[in-house]
Amino acid sequence: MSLKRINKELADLGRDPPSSCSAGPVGDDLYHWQASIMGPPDSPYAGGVFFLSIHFPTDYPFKPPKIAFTTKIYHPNINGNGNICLDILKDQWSPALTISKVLLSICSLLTDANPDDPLVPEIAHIYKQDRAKYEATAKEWTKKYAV
Amino acid sequence: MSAKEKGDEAYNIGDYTKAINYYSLAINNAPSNSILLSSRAKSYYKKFDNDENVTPNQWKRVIEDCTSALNLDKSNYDALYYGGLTMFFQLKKEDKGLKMLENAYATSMGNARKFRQYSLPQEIYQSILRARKTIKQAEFEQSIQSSNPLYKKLMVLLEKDYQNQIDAVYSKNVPKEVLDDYTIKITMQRISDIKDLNSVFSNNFNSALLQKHDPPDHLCDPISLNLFHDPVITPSGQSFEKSWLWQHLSANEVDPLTRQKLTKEQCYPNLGLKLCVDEYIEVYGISTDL
Repeated sequence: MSLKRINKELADLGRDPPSSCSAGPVGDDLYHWQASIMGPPDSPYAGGVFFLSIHFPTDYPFKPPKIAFTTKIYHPNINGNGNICLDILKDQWSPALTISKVLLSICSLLTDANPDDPLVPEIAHIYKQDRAKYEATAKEWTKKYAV
Repeated sequence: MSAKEKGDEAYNIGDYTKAINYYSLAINNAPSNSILLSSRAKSYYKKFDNDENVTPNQWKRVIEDCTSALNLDKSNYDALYYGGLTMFFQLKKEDKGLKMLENAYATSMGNARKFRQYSLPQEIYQSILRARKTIKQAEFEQSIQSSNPLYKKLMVLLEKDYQNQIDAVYSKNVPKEVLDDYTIKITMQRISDIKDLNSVFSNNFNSALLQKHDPPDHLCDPISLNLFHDPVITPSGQSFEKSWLWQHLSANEVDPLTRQKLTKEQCYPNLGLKLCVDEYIEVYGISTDL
């Protein structure tokens, strides 16, 4: 049954796309999508476009999709492999969530990082101690990898 | 391995002819086993379903097996489901077929609860929506035809024209391939003409109904994103399609929207919402993907 729901999500995304992100299947495999997120204007990621890969499990939507950044990004909750530390992608997942809602959550994670539950402790440390340095590095990385 | 197990194995890999043979063997040894009969019916159904040349008489084999299975055990939901599908979509006995599908849904739901496996009721609910759309479509076409005498006249003229064209080719001495080609061409023409005719005459009706219509979110289950069929309401006031919510709750007892603790016993059927969905299908059924 998961395929039917994935198709439906795809149709909904096409009809009413969220303003700052897009998503769709990579090839013929509907279980594998690519998404892009525009860096939020009020964040050091502004101006960048970040790509993510999405893999749906066969028992989707009862299990969360696997989402990772494929574009390098400097963020306390996103590590070098692109893995994202976000509760709704793990134990707080709910079958009533959709890809569109998850992408919006990732957008707000870019605006408001969560340094108290970091995936990369070094970045979280700098974020807390020297916010200006964090923002400068994040901007630099955005320019280097996402523009 | 018993004949039944061999049959199940063949069924699972999609070799339905082999499955039918093994089930027949098993039925000979145990003629009053309801499951064996419904398993064979299911295999017939799957085998025939991919074949356009199956005649109504062949489809009746599914019905025969389902009837025998149901006589032995009236809660055999496989027999109800495949019997219902065949009745409705193949033999065009809509009322009886839909009743069997509804019945299959209810009994499979009861059983799914025991085994925590909800894919069958989910599939049956999808088939019921599809059946209701089919009924609506037929009603709609019927109403176009009967409301306008000109429609009938045009149909008669068109049919005559196709017949004349075919007769003209047959009277010449041409090879069979050319004949076949020509017949296919005319048949295609006929299908597209009827479609055009329907759309011209349907302008008398509310033409907005013919445009593609997406069901509003409040009539759709937040988990399957599909129209409701059997909605239940949780203490938070949110409604969900039963088979999908049950599957979620069997792994994680929280409300999917509020994340409050939630058990099946706290949920009640939402009959008002079901009526709204019925009304929606009544009006927009033919222009919606079900």
